[in-house]
Amino acid sequence: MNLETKRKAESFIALTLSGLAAAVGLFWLVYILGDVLINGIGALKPSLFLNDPVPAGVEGGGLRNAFIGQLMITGAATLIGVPIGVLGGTFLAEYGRGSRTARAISVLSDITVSVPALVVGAFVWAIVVRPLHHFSGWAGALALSIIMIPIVLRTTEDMLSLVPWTLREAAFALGAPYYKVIIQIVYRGAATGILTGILLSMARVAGEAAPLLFTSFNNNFFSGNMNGPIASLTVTIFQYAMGPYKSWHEQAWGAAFVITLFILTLTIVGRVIIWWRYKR
Amino acid sequence: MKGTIEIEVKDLNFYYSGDIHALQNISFPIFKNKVTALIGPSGCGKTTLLRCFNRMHDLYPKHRYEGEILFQDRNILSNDIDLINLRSRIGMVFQKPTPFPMSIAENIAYGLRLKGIRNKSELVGRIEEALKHAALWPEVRDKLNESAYELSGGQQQRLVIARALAVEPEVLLFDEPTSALDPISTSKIEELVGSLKKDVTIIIVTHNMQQAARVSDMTGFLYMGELIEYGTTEKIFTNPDNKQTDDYITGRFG
Repeated sequence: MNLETKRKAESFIALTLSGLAAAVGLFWLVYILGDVLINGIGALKPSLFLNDPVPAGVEGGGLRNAFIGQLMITGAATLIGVPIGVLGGTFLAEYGRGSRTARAISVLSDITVSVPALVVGAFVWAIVVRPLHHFSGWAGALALSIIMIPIVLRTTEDMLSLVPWTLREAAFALGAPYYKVIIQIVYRGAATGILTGILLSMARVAGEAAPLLFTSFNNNFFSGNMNGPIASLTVTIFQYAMGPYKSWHEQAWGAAFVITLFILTLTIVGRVIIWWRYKR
Repeated sequence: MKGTIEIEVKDLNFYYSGDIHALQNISFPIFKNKVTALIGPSGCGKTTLLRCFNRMHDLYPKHRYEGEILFQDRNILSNDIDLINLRSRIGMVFQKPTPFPMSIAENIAYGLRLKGIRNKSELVGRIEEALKHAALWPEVRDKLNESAYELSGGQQQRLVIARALAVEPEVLLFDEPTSALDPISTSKIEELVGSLKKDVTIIIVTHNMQQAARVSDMTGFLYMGELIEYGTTEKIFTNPDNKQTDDYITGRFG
């Protein structure tokens, strides 16, 4: 066998194997999304969004409590996580640029990104829920914000580092103090990138059930009280899917469809912003 | 060359972090309302010297100055100098155009706002004045609210010059301002430099010797961190005292 045929054969084998691997991954992805779509779309009725849960066997129950609860928890998590993430990223890229501390924090947050969400839930349970003796929406929001912070932090750091250093020097040369350079010049240059990071981190936490299971728990009734247990879509999906009733299963499919759509929308908006910003 | 001395450099030494001795015992005067060119091969220290005048090196830790730079009889290297004030009096234009990510008008207004000018009509007037001063007004008068990134490279560089002029500095530092530009834009900037010197003192770093000969009144030749020769541009380019200067300007090295 000469060299060329050998190389062609190797190339063919590599192409086949990597193609197969991609096909296997795609198959399950399409299967899951298709399943959620087919089963979920049938469960979408106004009552799903407008009504609270009713006892099994009674017609017309919905998941209003879980939709509102999910929005409150994710919203509160964003309010806690985004300022800390953005300011932390600013420290890493600006004031602490290149320092040992900044590099260490950077590496640690990369590791934190891949910590299992369940561990975060257990951590918040141990430091908040157990000492206070009750589950709460705030604890859930805290758990989600802990997952958000490293994502927002690293995106902010990367986006700020992309702003050319000469732009900062130009602002300094006009007599601007550092905080004004950061707020008025660097943030402006990096704004779309940071916004995208925030949207993607929201999409990431919106689908988490494990950290909420130990923190905000669940609530079968409508509650707007963040100090007590509060319903969320993800935990409700978990509970309903495991339950024995057909109406529960239907509603779980509906909720799964809505949350998938929500995450998809956030991701697409994030991508569109990136595309729109960098097309030129 | 007779004239008022605007800046007097006295026994200036500069060390980058790690004790790299980048400038060695530099002394020379810079005359008011004249264009002073700093020439020399890459790495000779001309940009390093330029960045001493507005203390740009202070942005980086562990860089160290020795000696004095007297600007209107005050040593600007002393620790009690207010850098924000200093940099609004000694402006700088960089090698690559550095427009801020905002509109053309906002770019000019930025420096003015830093100086505390908030009055809307005053800002509008000063923006127009600065753009006229930098010979950019006819090209941008109808698109002041468009992004500065829409402009060509040469226009961006004149915008940056307008931004620096708007705060009415007494000295303007140019760090190879045309090296990223095409020949037509370059000649516009050179003309501009010539017309600006009646209002400001200009120090320009260039690796282009023809440019130094065209725009400057005084020229300093630097080599390996030392000021080899300083004198009128005419003398440096026609009859230099030093052999190294002669070799450099006739293109034998560098």
